Amino acid sequence: MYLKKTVFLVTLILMALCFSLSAYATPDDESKDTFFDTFQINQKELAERATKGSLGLYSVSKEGVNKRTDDIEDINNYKVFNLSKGYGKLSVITFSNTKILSGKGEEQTTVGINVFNVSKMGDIVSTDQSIQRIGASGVYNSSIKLDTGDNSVVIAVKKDNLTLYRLFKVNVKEEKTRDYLENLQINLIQPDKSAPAESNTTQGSFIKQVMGSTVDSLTK
Amino acid sequence: MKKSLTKSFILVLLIVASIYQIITLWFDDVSDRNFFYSFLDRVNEIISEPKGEFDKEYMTSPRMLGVFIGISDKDFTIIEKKNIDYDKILGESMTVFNKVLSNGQFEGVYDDASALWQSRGLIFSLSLIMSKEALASDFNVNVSTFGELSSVQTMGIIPAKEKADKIKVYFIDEQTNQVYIYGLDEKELKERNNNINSYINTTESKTYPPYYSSLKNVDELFKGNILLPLPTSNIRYNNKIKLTTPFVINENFGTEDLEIFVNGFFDNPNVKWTIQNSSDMKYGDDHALVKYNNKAIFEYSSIISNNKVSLGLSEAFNVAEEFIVKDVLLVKGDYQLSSYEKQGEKTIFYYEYEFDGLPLLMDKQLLVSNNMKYPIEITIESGKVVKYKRLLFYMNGVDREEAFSSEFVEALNSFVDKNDIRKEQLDDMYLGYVMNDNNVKLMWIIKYNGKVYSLEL
Repeated sequence: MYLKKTVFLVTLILMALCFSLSAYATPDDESKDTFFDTFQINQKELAERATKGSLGLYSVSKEGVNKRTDDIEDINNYKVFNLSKGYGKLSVITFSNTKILSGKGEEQTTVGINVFNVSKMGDIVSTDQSIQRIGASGVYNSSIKLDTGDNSVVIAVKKDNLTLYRLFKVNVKEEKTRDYLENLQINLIQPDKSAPAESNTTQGSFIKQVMGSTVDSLTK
Repeated sequence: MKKSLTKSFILVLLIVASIYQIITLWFDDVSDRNFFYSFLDRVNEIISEPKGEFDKEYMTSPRMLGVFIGISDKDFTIIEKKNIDYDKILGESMTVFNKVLSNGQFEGVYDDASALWQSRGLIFSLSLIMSKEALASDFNVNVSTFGELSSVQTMGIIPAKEKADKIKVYFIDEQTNQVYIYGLDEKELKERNNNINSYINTTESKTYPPYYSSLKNVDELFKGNILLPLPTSNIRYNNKIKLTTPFVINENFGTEDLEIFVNGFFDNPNVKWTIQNSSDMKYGDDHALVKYNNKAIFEYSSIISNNKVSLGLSEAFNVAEEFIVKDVLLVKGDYQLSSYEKQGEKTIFYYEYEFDGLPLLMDKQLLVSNNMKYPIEITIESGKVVKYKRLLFYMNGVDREEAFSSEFVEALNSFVDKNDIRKEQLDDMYLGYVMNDNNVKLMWIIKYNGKVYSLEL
């Protein structure tokens, strides 16, 4: 009788311990700090900018001063690193909870991405991140996970004395919203699912472009 | 009168009995080697197994059939060869290429590929570089259709989105990277256009893993379009495969099974002769000779006919493809055309093995020691196969398929760094099986400066 109770109690204690381990053993805080330490990004300032919607490019000085900079027009350019698949705008609406980023950069450039939200207390709560150092090939590939709703995304780049980061806002709509919109389209106009979701051009523009292009000497 | 009637009756009985006896003698058991055996066997085969018409095969069949989707979590994916829909979508695509080139119009030339990423489409990475002459022969169009185009290893289809649009096909010049575009009204290929469009849309699903395209990312490290898998749990392959030699058990030939296999190469297997040596088996008749040695080299050669038939490249390729069907140990998907060579009147087609849709690179030494360039070689002359040589083996996965976890960027970085080729261009990079001694395992394969390198996952 006592043995049964003891076994039950020990099992219960073990289960409780397992729960606490899994609940508190996530390296979120530590890795979050690693990210912000690597790029010397001031978390408080970043949280403020994210809350105010001050999206855009920032530079970090040797002393760790984070300053707004507008000297690069191309949204995917970070001087020593270029994204070929990144974001086309600073504020983006998407239906996908995953984003793949690809690009090329100078060897030994560190590229980091952090996805976060700002808590009511004004603290940064990271939900996903990646830090990679570009190797000899110069090729960069990464994928990040986004939560449904609002996400702030920082893409940061560091090489020697240069540190730059760009702040984006990404709103992930639920899949059912897309289904609803698609069904709505079917009722009103011709359905068209075949244009790339993140393309900046209008549907059919390629064909028009081709039709309108100068036909070279072959046809002459 | 009565006497003559009795005689006639006995005579009729005798005639009937003799006819019965003759029939029994000749047709008692058709599997017996009686006078009509070969004839009946042939007829029986034709009746029981109708072969149907042989479909045209294209040299432009891709090593990788890519799909450009352009969504947030997936720019590209591929339709794996083991996918149940692969043959269907490939067949539809080849018809589209054919029809657009034959009935459509040349639309123009782009200096780079950036315009291709405005609409979803299919992109074909070919297993060999095709000259414009070879392309013209393959699609049965005049070579002038391709204008200044030199050679091609990447081509694609952009289906029409609206009725007023055109279905487009394009070819990327291997030398200049220019894109040659051809178009045809959607209504001419309506059903196929719809099928391709709806198939492309299905590849948004998570079962199709994301791929990286060097062409879309303007990655100057690579020539042409290289499609490489991004790490995902949806790609599953065997890490190792096992090769076993058929018909050789403890250095002895399994003659019965070997003969059944060899019979497929003879028009009349019953009249063939057999010579058994310790190191090889030979079979022959008046038209062909078949050899199989204990090093697993199978060789068929036939006597060149006097009829001088001159075939075009595509026709010769189709003769080769039709002949391979006779080899019952090979199934479609086990091999892929890798190269071809013209030697006077002869055309030699070289094939590589494939396992699970990935190429299998043979031990170079093994091929050289057997006077071979590739593990499967077919020579066409005077309109027929005069030589068929192949390294014979069964391929089996060693373990269960496992999720693929290696990152191509790491392999690429280590290769570029080790060889210090930061400003050079690589010819190709892909996943494949590599044979070292008798071990075959999954590796990264890089082609650079005409040489092939393999890297651990």
